[in-house]
Amino acid sequence: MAATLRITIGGQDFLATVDQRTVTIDGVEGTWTTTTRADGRWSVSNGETSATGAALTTPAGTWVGLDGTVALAQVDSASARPRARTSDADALRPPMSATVVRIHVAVGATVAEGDPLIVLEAMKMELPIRAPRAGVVTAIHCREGELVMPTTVLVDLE
Amino acid sequence: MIRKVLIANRGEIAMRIIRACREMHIQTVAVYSDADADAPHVMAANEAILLGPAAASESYLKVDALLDAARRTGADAVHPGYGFLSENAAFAARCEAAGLTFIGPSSTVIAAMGSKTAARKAVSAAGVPVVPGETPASQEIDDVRAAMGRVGYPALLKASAGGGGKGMRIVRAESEADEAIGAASREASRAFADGTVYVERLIERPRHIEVQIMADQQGQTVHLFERDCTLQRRHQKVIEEAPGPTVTAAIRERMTRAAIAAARAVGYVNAGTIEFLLSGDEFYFLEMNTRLQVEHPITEAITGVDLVRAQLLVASGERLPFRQDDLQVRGHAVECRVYAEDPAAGFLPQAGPLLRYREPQGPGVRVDAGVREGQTITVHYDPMIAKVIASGESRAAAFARATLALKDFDILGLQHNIGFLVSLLTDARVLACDTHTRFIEEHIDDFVPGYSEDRLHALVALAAAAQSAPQPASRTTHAALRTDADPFATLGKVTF
Repeated sequence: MAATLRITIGGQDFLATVDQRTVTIDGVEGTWTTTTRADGRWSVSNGETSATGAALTTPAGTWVGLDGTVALAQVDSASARPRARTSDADALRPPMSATVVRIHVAVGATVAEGDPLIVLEAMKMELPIRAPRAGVVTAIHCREGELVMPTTVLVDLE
Repeated sequence: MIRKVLIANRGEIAMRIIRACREMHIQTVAVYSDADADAPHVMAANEAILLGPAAASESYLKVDALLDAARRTGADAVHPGYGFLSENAAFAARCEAAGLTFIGPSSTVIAAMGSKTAARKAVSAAGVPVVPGETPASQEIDDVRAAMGRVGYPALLKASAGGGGKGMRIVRAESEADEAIGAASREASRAFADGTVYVERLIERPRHIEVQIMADQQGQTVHLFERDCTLQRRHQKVIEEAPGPTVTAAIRERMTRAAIAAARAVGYVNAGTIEFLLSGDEFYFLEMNTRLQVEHPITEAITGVDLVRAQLLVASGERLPFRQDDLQVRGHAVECRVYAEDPAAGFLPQAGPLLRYREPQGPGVRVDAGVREGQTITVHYDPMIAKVIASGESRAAAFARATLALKDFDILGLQHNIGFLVSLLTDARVLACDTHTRFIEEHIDDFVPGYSEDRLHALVALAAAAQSAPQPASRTTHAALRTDADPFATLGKVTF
């Protein structure tokens, strides 16, 4: 029995129909044949290219890896709303747990795209957080020296 | 002979040292931070001592806690590994003062080589060519900027106290100087507890070639040929190989002679590496690393020597277990550093659980790692997960093996750079050695995200199929199957 799923990888949405071991993807030519092996690994082939790897379903999504390439996929029913491009581009968050080393801007500052706003440090490396676009800084939600989490909004940009 | 070694490190290098000690029947003491309480190196050692909280400055960099751990466990030697305190002369001196054998050169040699100015002066006097550069006597921003003006732009800023690319900055013009000096100094303080920066002229488009040397206390100094570490990203080595694929017999002859002269000039003992920049037929001394290198396994692969074992023997006062004439290059080896980082997001370090972690195996494949499945990679330390070392009778064979081994390495649960490594290993320019130390930066778009449309679609297909398929058999089932297949099971209870 065929089932259609909505798969989101890296901000791109796909509709994939699974029938037994065969997968077709909307708008993509050809079909992919998938095989589970006795050792728990998977092979995926479209007749021209094939790759081997693994998959693991977790509460955060499905981790898939093929020949070294790895991605976290969101798998929903076909009727679910597309997940791609959620609109929190205005709230700047750290990509990982990190320490704030420096704040380059003050509330009210006008910034251009690419301007450094905040410098974080994690794993002994400095990570600059830059303005994704031009705008005005309306709020700063962190202090220098503070440990911030990926869920912390650092700066509001309008 | 050394009886008990305290390993002042963590991760894969701690595992590597513990293994060598076990082979030689030397007892081991691991140290760890709160974040590493269940790390493999803690399990592998005979004893383990908690140093303190997760931050390296409160654990792995804490000299007093390390010396106290050595005293409490009765260790008679300390192996510093790489990174952390491995090139900290003060730490080596404290070990010496406490009557502990520091497995490495003496604190005076570390101090001499750790100061880039003194190192250059020493090797230069021994006839080794050097790149223009200096450690500004005053580390005030104005004085560091002035020093950059003297060596000339483009200039390079480095942490005076260490390697590993931490704190390094390229400065193309005076206008970029101030920001870079501040950042380099801060990173240096954090990584090495010393914010002193070193300034030098940048030699453009060079290859990075380094010579491994080994010296015993009886005065024998040998070289173990060279490694090529040209493939770097932001001065962090990514892929290393040995021997140097562009190093001719004539260059090797001059370079290894220079390396031995440099080592002899400072009275070097134990394992060390002399790094050079090779540009055309000319090479320049870059620095000497007074420790075991991350990439030491490729030298072991082509020479058949166990460098850690040699380190332990030399530190115990024994002669080197080989002479220069015993050493030959056999075949080719390549090492790929697997990092928890997201190439598609500017190589941001990643933290997260290793939900699936299965190492590749096969002829000529070695994986050095200090993690296991189920463990979490944290933000506290270097994001390297493992090193994949592949060797074969030729460069092409070694690269093919490394590529397959990487493709067979299953790591799920966080983003990593294996796809990026595969795209590098299979690149025509990399295979043809048409590269230089900034090759990756200049062509980054060719390697990131590192997969084609086809691969993306294959991943989508796999995600869809995995969702619809029953979950694979659990590990318990596999374990049960293995137990049933145990041939001794039919013998009933057997005592050996």
